[in-house]
Amino acid sequence: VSFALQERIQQIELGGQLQKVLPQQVSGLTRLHNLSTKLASTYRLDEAMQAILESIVELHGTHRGLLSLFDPAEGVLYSGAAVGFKPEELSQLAGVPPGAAACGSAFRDRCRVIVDDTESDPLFAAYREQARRVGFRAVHSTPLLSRDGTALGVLSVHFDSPARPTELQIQLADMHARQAADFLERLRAEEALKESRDRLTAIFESSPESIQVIAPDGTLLDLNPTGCRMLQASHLAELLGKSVYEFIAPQDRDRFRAMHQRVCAGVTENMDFQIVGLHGARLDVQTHAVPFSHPRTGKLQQLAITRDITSQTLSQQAQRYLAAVVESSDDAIVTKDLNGIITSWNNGAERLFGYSPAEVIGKPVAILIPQERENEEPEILAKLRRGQRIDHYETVRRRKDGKLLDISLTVSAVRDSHGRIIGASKIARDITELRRTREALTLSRLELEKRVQERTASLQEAIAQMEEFSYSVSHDLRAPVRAMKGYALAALEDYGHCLDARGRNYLERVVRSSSRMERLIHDVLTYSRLARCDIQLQRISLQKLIPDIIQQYPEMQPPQAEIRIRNQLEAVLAHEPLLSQAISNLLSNGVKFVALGVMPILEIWTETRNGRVRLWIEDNGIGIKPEHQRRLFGMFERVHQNKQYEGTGIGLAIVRKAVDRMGGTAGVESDGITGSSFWIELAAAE
Amino acid sequence: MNSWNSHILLVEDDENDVFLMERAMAKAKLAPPMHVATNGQEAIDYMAGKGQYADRSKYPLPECVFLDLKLPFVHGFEVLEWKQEQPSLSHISVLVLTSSPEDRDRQRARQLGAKEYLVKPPTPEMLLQIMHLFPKCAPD
Repeated sequence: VSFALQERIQQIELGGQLQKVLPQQVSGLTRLHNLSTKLASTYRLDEAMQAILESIVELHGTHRGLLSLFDPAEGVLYSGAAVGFKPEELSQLAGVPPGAAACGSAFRDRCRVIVDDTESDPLFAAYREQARRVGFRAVHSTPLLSRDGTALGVLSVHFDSPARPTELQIQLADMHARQAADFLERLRAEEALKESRDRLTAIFESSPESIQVIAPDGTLLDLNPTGCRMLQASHLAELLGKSVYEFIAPQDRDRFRAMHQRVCAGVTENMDFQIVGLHGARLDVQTHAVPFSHPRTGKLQQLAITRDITSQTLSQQAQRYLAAVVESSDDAIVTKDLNGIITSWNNGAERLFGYSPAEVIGKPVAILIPQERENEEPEILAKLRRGQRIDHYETVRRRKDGKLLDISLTVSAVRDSHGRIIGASKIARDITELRRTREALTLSRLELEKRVQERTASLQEAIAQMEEFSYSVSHDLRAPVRAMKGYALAALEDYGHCLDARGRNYLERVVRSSSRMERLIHDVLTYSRLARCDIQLQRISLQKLIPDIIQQYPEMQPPQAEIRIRNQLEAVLAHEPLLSQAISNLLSNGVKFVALGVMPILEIWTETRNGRVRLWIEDNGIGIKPEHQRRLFGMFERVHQNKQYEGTGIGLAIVRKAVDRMGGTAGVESDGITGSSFWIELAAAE
Repeated sequence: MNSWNSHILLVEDDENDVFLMERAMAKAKLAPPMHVATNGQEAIDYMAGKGQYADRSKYPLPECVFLDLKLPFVHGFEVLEWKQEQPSLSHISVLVLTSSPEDRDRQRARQLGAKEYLVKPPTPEMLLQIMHLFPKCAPD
């Protein structure tokens, strides 16, 4: 019984205690719960700290408290939240260095400091006056410690009278300090995260290189603005979700696929390839790709940074191209420094001089120079130093085998990027063949000139002989014809009465034949004379020339014939004797070839076309059949058989020759029945 | 009737042409005393009165000379050149009578002082026309 009673008594005593403590605990837990809820919903440091401070001040049954936070920059504690202090009091408490007063000590020592009576606590003596002024008698300071033990601040509760904390108050103060420290840590971590995210975003957005994330199957998952530009997209949306292989140039696609697979298997890779933008623009790029695990699935993706190296590639290509040009050149291309030491030596140089690059690079270029020309190199170097260029300088150089070569040298200064002359490039061309060809050419030119002179001489001789011949023709061939005709006429005149009709007829035939022979000789001479005479074209007025011609020939004038000039005749560019010859021949033909008993009537006019004047002479004669017209202007061509129209067959050949020589043309139009229209065309005067 | 009183000298190597000249003269009814030289040298000798021609009663100086151009040994132009250098013979007119209608011959003859340039054959009309150039030969 006693045991049971004792137990009961204990229960009652405990119950009494419990009755006192339990509500306090419940209230504390409720407050802590509310506080957690509030802290979870805020990101504001001041709100959070105020809530924590108010909660703990209330739980201590007092009305004053201060939550100090450490400012690492200043090295002091400052007020993060305050309850029950006037602003001027706060300013007195602010700026506490670590180690000072209760909160400074709690901060420095990272443990709780209890001053249960400011008047009696010896450690607080220095701050006693301050406490009196503000009006508190006790202070309990609990440090805010991060999870790694760093002091972040101090949570202090002030009392108006001496006070010792209960076990429960100590626990609640620790829990509140924990809450405050966690909040601070969370806030700082979030700030750091945000800062780091902002930094990464800035890098991603502004990177001059493309940054992209590619899924194992090749799907493009993310791409920065530079990447979009490189692929010619104006928005990321145009590209996301597409297969990256679409943008790899076909020739590089397989290589890229293999690389991508290796990266997704965990290998870091570098690769040069070509990409093709949405609109077909090709870029040479260089990529650095790393495996990057998916934040949720942990699957490896490709994270890559890609650089546009097109211009670099182009300049490399240009360089390779130039190098190839130098290497494949037939000319020897050699560079040397300003001391004349050979620094490069192409295939052409090896072919030309017989030395391999290894044999000559580093040696003086003088090894190529024959002894008698050894002063050439210093002169060339001196010119180069003055920045002058040596162009197609023809000289002699020595091959490795000692043979001398005729070469043409072009030497120009090589400058560094600052424009300083650092050496020379020398192009040498073997001109042995050229020189030989040139000599041969000179010889053959001399030979040719000699031949031309000979030909000219023989031609001049031939012309002289021709002239001699025509001269003889005019003198000597005429004499016997003249005699024949003269004697025949004399016989007819003196002895005609002794002969019968047949005898007289024979003599008449002799007279007619010799007359014809005279005309032939005359016409042939005329032809050859106009074919070789010197001509000078000048303005000739047809309006004046034609009447002058008509004046000279009675057979062209009434009553024998009528020649009408239809319009004002245009002036032409011609040589008067030739033109006069041609027109008089045409006019005499015109009045000659008419049907028996018909009075010849000729019409003359000019037409101007394209700066040329065509003179028409239309007759009412017997005409020329179209099939004969082609032959008409030939030498000795006669198209009328009738003896009535006897001619030499040279008249129109003379016309054509004369007109030809004046740069003109001649022709005829006729139906062969109703007359002919002859024309000559010459350049118009002016 | 017309007559040609003064002497003329015909320089001609072709006897046919001499015949034609004589016949034309006759037909024109002109009958001047005519001497014939058959080459250039003879013509010069005649005018200079050299050798057999020194006898001026037999070979009087002519009023005019009909000169062929194409002559053996001494060409007609050489005769003209020589004649130009003889001031004492300046009163004698030289008329070229040739087969050549060439302009260059015509021009050269003029330059060397020929008074006329006639192309063969001579005709009575041609002779009557030029006769007026010579007052002494004027028709009766």
